[in-house]
Amino acid sequence: APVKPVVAPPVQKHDAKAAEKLIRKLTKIRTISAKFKQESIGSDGRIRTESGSMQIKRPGKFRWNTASPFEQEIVSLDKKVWLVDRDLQQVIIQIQDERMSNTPAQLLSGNVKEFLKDYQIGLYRDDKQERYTLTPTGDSDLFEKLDIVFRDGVLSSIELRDSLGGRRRVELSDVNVNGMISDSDFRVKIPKGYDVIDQTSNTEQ
Amino acid sequence: CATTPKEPELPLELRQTLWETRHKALQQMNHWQLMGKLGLRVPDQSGSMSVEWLQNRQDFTVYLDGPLGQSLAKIESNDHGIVVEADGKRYQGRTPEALLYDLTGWQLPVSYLRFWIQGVPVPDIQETSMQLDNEGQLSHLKQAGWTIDYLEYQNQPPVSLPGRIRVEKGDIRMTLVARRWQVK
Repeated sequence: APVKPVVAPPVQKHDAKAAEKLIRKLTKIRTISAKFKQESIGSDGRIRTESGSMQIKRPGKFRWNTASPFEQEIVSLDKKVWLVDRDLQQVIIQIQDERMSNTPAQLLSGNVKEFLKDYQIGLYRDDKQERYTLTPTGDSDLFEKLDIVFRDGVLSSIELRDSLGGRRRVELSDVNVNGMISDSDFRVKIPKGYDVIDQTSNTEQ
Repeated sequence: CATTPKEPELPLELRQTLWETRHKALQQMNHWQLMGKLGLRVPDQSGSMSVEWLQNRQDFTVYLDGPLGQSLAKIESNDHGIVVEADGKRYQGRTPEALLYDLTGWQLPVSYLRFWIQGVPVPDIQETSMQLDNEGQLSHLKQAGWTIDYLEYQNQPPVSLPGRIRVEKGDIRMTLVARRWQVK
């Protein structure tokens, strides 16, 4: 029998309907607060877990508080990001940029249509979950593949494979969508005695 | 509030004998792991990252991870040589300092930190100046142009280990906070 030609892995074709649905689903989320458990698996198999809580409010406001293994707060407000580290007693203030990109938080606080236009989107659905898979059309160095998973209609996990072969999975619990979150929740009170490194006005204090 | 009166300093010879016994114990510490946080204050590249340092006799592996759990760098030093991985690139040879600087722009004196982290000076460096506290622990160290201040210690049987260290040279300032020590 003729030898079956080697077929390249199926390039994900873009499912425009799924993209529309995902844009609607994500844009509907005006605010979201949840507990998170993040598992990072390095390309060498090294596993690290972090857990904490997060609050996000469109547009552009998010708070990502890690409780374990280290206490740390990452807060974004008005295009600035505060990185408060309890152990180091240090606060770094930066302009929000790609490098600091916290993809899950950016996805939920940024402009969804804008974010999704650079990705092929596919949808896998079964009775337990709706899994949207994003693969970048250009060579984005953010990630190689991103899965956004809804369970019973509620955002449940975001899984990301980066270009180094590492994987990060953020699992959400106690999810509260479109609850009241006031802007003052995104203000950072810098504890006394902390070392403040303000890189936004590029004149170091 | 009343500041706690500074303990009167014990005589130097006593502190030195305490240091000698302590130093021997630390030199026999061949297998240890440290999980901590590293704050880096450098003119235009300040940052904070978590550090995992695994030391086995002369070999060590160091993981540097970013605030969001993303892996920033991995440094491996063993008798095959030195490998540094960062940004999907992998470099070999030369010193960890040079490799890490090329890949990340950070000037981390990795080969020295290995000793300073444990609370001991780097061996065989001539101009070394040390100050000891009343427990015979290093409190201040000057070596190879770097200044190291030991701000906190954790009692970690069999010997206490540094909990908070500040390392400075010129406009580079690093703070290392040890979250968990494991000594085999």
